[in-house]
Amino acid sequence: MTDERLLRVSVLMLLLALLGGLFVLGGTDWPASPTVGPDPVDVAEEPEEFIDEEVHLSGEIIDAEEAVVEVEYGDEALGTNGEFEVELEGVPPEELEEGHELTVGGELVDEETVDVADHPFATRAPWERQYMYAISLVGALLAVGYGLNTWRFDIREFGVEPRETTLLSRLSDRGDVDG
Amino acid sequence: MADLYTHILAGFIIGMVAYWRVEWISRPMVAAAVVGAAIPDLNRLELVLPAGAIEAATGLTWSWGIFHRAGGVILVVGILTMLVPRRYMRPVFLLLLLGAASHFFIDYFLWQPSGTTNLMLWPFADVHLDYQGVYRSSHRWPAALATVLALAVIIIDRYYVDKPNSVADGS
Repeated sequence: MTDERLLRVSVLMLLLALLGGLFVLGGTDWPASPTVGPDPVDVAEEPEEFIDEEVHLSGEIIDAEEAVVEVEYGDEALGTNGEFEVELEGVPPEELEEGHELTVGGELVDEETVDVADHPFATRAPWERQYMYAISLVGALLAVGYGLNTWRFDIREFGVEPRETTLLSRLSDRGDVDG
Repeated sequence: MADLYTHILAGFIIGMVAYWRVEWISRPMVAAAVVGAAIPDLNRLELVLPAGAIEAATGLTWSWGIFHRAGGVILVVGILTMLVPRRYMRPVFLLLLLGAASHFFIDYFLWQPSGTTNLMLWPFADVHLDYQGVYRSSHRWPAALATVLALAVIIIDRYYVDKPNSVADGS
């Protein structure tokens, strides 16, 4: 192994170790939580701790007239998951549609009520979320395709390097010859 | 995140402009901007392998969310840079960073229920700006706008830009 390759592999290992450490730190919320506002799990488990505080919730509208939202929270794999219902105050009912997803900030008035007047809220239909996943999948495929078209793996060098000619142009050249 | 498609095209557009304007950035380096723009959304590994499952199996607290924060991005950029031949390291490093920065820039305009932006600079700085963004990842117009701009870039590149495409001429 040449000195340069040894250095490169060492740096790579160091960076991977740091990344692994960061996953754990992120989960520990150290040195601070990477997200804004209280965790819905905490709000669900001890709502009394958050009364008069601002919370951010997202869930399915299950009763448009009474403005009731069912919030799913936690993690299934850890068994910390569950759902709770909150009633929203200060939302015009005509803006709510059952089955749609609602995301909102607001103050917790009591254990089951959130005052969202003067706070931003947004709703979206289930198909909008599906659109988001579908178009993002297209994006992921485009990125992978673009990368593979212009770069290739070099197993011997344990890395990647640019292609002299792109995959696509090679395919179309072959087409010209055959045609 | 805006939708990943929009981010990818933004990375492509920025990479192409860099390729046009900077002599030592060759055409294949555009892919680094595209990949860089995708890095923060690696947090979606959560959908494949939930952090909770890792925590349950290993006892370690875990968050994929750090991919969408400056700390995670910088490490991934470093890792990918270590995988390219030495002469491409500088442009690849810069374009990966530029692509990822474009992701953050675009996401600063996301609508948030908190009315503040996310803590994108974690763990380095606790910066969030109190203002309300204008779109959500499920909105359609960012993707439409990005498509139009990307097509314009492809046309400009094809008909108005006179720079060799091959690797041998750049970097």
